[in-house]
Amino acid sequence: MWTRLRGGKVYDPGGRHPASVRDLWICDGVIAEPAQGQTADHEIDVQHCIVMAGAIDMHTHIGGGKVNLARMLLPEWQQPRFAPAERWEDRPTLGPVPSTITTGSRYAELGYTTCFEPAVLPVNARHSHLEMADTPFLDTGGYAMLGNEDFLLQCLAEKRPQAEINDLVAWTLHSTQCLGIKVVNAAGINAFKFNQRSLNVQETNRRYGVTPAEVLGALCQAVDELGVPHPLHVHASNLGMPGNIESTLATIEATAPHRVHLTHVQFHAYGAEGVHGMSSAAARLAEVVNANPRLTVDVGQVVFGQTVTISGDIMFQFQQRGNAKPRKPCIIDIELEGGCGVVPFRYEQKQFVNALQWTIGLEILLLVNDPWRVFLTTDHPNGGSFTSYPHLIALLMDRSYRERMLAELHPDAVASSSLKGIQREYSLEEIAIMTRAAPARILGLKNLGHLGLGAQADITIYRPQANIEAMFACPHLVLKRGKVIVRDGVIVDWAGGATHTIRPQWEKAGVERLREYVEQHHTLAMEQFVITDEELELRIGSPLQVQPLRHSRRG
Amino acid sequence: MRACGVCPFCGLLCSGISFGSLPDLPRQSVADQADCERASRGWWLSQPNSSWHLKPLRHGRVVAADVAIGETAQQIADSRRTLFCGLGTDVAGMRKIIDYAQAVGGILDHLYSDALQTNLSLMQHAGWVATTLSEIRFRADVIVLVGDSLLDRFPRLLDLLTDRGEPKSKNAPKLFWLGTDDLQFRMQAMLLPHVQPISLKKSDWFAALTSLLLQADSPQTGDLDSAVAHWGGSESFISLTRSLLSAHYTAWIWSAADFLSDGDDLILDLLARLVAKRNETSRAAVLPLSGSNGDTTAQQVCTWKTGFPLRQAIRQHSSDYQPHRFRATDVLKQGDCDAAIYVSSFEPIEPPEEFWGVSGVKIVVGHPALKCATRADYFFPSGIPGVDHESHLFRGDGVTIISADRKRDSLAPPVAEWFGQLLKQHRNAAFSQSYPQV
Repeated sequence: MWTRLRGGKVYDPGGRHPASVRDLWICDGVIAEPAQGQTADHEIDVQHCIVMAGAIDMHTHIGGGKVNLARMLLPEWQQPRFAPAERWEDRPTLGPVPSTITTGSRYAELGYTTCFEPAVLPVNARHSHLEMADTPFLDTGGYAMLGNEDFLLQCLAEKRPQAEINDLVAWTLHSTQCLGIKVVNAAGINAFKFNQRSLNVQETNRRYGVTPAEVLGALCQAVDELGVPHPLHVHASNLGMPGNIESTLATIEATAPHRVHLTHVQFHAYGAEGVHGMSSAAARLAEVVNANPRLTVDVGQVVFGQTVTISGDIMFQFQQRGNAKPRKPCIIDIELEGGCGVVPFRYEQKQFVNALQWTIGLEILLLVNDPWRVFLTTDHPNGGSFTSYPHLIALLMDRSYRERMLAELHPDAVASSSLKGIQREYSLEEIAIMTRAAPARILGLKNLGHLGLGAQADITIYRPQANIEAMFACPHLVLKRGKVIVRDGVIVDWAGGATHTIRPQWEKAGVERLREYVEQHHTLAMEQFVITDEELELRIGSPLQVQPLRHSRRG
Repeated sequence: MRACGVCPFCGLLCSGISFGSLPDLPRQSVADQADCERASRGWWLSQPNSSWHLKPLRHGRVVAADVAIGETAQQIADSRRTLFCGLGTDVAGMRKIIDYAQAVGGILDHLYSDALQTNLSLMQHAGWVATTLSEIRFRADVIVLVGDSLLDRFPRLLDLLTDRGEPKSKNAPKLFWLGTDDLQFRMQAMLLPHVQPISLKKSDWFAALTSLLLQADSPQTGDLDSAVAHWGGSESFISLTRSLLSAHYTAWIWSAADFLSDGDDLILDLLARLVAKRNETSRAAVLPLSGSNGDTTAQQVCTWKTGFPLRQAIRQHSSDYQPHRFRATDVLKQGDCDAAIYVSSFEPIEPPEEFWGVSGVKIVVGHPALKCATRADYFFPSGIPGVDHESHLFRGDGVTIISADRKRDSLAPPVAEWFGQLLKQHRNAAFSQSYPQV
């Protein structure tokens, strides 16, 4: 069946087309080239509208044990305890971690059609995929967490060959059906389990005698040599600590010369100057990012209000337990792999630290010059809910709106911020890059994030409005695989998603030591770590899309 | 028939279990050949016999499946409020039950939700520092089992956490079992020479745990003997106290099913506080288990699909989360439902007697050996998760979903199949949402 979107102004930086008014043709859910004389079975008039690919959230906690734990912990902060609605997808979202159906519905209503869960513990991968499969409207994927397993640290302590690390990484990607590798506070979560309370980048994990720098280096090398499209996704050391810019810069240095993606860098760009002992280091970080094409960052922008922080970084989350609001932190050590810390939190605009965090995030977004290398995220729900994206886009596109917001903040934070002096306003083209084309490119998603021939027809269509926030909050139409699922902000049809994964090469012999280790130290059989294609598609219920590697294995 | 694989019959979901099943032998012969009493019991109950009901029943008589589905869906649709209880099923079954409940409305509660709710309330009150089975096996130097029935509910717990069969090594954890008066008797039967028992009357637990909390807050090892003697504590309790003060990683493990009496929640609260205090200078964690029969699975799936854990009512496309109001037995006693569906697929666990007092239709979906099959208005036999079909099941520590293998040709459809058919029937019968086409 052929569908024609007629006469919209198409912003498609991913397709390398300049913004122009043109028709888009869709056949069987894919952008296609009509033969001469082809007639449309279905025509949608989008004249005077803005047409973009469906948006991609490359770092959002939407599925897995820690998300579900947060739901259980905070029923009082979920949706209203009882909120009658006409349909399930119409339920209001007030809480930071809604149900899977509400999550998918809200994302679709905002024009987002693909999301990635960034913290998949291998032992919890099955759970993550089950939740994501139950999240309607979205294509999904995950980043498997490595860098704190006792097995990997022991391998590094024993100076095992890099090829073994590569096998472990490739096997993990296979067995978890994930798209990339994430490291959280390298070796630090593990150190906390042995009662070590802090760990700098060049400091040794006392149990294994391994530094975070060594862990990062080995994992970066593995990701590169295996041809994994997405660079190592790094949650750096000392999250949230004043002065942590030094750790962040040391992390960047430790990962050279490899490509690396630094995540939620707002939480890692703090100086220690000023009367409050905390200051913005956004400019220092942006300068380094601008000078190093191998770096990409997402921001983790803070949004004021109640949320819940959910992180694998239990070393930091444990330190934060005293700041929990309400005071009920949950910390869990998990299966020789990592951990899970759920700490409820409220960001206050009149509180100096929170206000400074807000300015730092925006500073980074505005000071990193290249929109292909900086991504708008709230690290949902850690900085705030993804539902704030229209508001944040408006802040990026409208300097006067930023300044009105600044006037509401703690005065010391405003005074110490360079935000007021930043003139830059994002263009629609740059928003399309940051929220569509760039995430697709950095993740290696060949058929998403653009509107070129062969692209999946996930499309968001806006009616231009002077009020930018209102425009992005309520798209005129959202199409999933060519089918209209949202009209004027309301779900009108149902669609499922797919799971995106990759297939790097690994040698069976390379993971034999892991098998022995699992048999000796774990309480699970090795087979339980493996999610087969059949299991994912038939029992978990999500079709697979295997994305290509950058190159075949080199080490 | 012999089988080997994941055992679905308790919350540990052990791998590599050998089921020495010979259906014609008496029960004890089966148990002798198996690795675990609980596994052998479940497996023995899984062996079909002539009394099994392998076809749908209506008032005790065999009825065609499509007829039973059609009539059941109609009666549920006509009901004011349906109770979905038992909920002993796997992830797939629970997903479909929630889908159906979201379509028709109703109250959701698990058979063992008292235990689930005890742990959940503790966490929702003040949070906790928790751990998982492999962490304990690898890291713990002191393990404290808490509550009398823990090893009855989870028989291979110590096998998973320690190498019980090997000579006691220098690195072996110190093991304690904190229980009530019955503990000595239980332990003698279990042959646990490396476990130090600490028998305390329930009335002494507050004093004992408060004493530990005070010690953790301000260690006074010199005065320990007299401090413990003050409330009548034993030598083994002094040993526990000393071990805790020097431990690098302490794990406290309980089944909340042992703590359902009035005031027991305060005992668990003290344990969580003790662990929180110890974590200021050392590492310690709790492992709060519940009762099993798929309880963790039901809790987790319900939470992600609705946004709230059990117990809740679903109506008007919203969840009404009121755990103290929607306890199944209370709902049944108060007549707060006019239809009820009971699910028990792991073992033939009969519904509570109050179930039969429901004014409207009473439906049972579950194990073919359920005696209540003929008493229900409609009975749908289901396969046993991890025996008749592959199943996803949450382990008791809540962070791992085990894929339990199928061990024979299926004798009955999974729970998910029946609820999928009910949902389909409901939607086909003009109750469905319709979306305008663009």
